[in-house]
Amino acid sequence: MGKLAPRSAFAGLLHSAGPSAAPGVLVREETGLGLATVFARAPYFPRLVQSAYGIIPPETSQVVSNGAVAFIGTGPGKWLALSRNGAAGWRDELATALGVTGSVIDQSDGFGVLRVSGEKVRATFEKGFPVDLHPSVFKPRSVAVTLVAHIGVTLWQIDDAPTYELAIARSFAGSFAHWLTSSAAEFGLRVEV
Amino acid sequence: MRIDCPFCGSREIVEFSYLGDAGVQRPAPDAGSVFTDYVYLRDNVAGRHREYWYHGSGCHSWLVVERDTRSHEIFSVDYAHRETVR
Ligand SMILES: [Zn+2]
Repeated sequence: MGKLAPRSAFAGLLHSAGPSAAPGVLVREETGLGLATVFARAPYFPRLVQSAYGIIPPETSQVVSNGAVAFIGTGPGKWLALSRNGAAGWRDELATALGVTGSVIDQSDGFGVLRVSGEKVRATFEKGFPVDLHPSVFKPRSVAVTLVAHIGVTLWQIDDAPTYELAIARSFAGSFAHWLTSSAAEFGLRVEV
Repeated sequence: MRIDCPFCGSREIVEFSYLGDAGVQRPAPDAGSVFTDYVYLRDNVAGRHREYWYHGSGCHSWLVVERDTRSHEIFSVDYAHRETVR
């Protein structure tokens, strides 16, 4: 019997497209992330997050990060909790830290995460994201849960470059990659590893 | 039509599902024919109407929207559940 190897959500799905000399959009899959959906169940939930990770989960559509761990506000009392320390044990670690104050559901294999940047990233996202991404409205730490080409997307902004990250349900990775490739092709899309 | 979700901000209608009249009160289980009215009978309001909308493609909140059914003008949007954590 062959040994089964882990396969990231976007493996084999991202391809460079359009002008290659000075591509306007850069994309890279972020792999090996710990991901979990977290629901607050008690008023002292934020204090337990703070004592474990030194950050207070945002109550609005914002992301707060300590560098390794981020709480991404996706709804009232609900977050996507992301760890850059790897998927192994992430759900259990959170569940232990939060006890009865939070419900934790592992999503490490459920979502694929892309990091997208480049001079034309806004011009590309404008073609599909039905939210205002103008820098006066959507800024570093802003979060939007929305639909792009009927595909559910959780988007958050990392920095002013702008750099974005987005999470997409694994089974829609191919469809989203198709949308991104088509939409960025006129500017040039480069896949980074 | 756009709805100004209290969590997500202004979003287009495609992200929401409509449930209907937010004014009806669920009667007691043994209320008899009153229960039939509760399940099936609705006023066909021309004008201001308080109604439930679900932000299923966004934050998954149930909302109460007060809307003019003739113009789609929206007067207020709030969480349907008072206990919703903010
Ligand atoms: Zn919402």
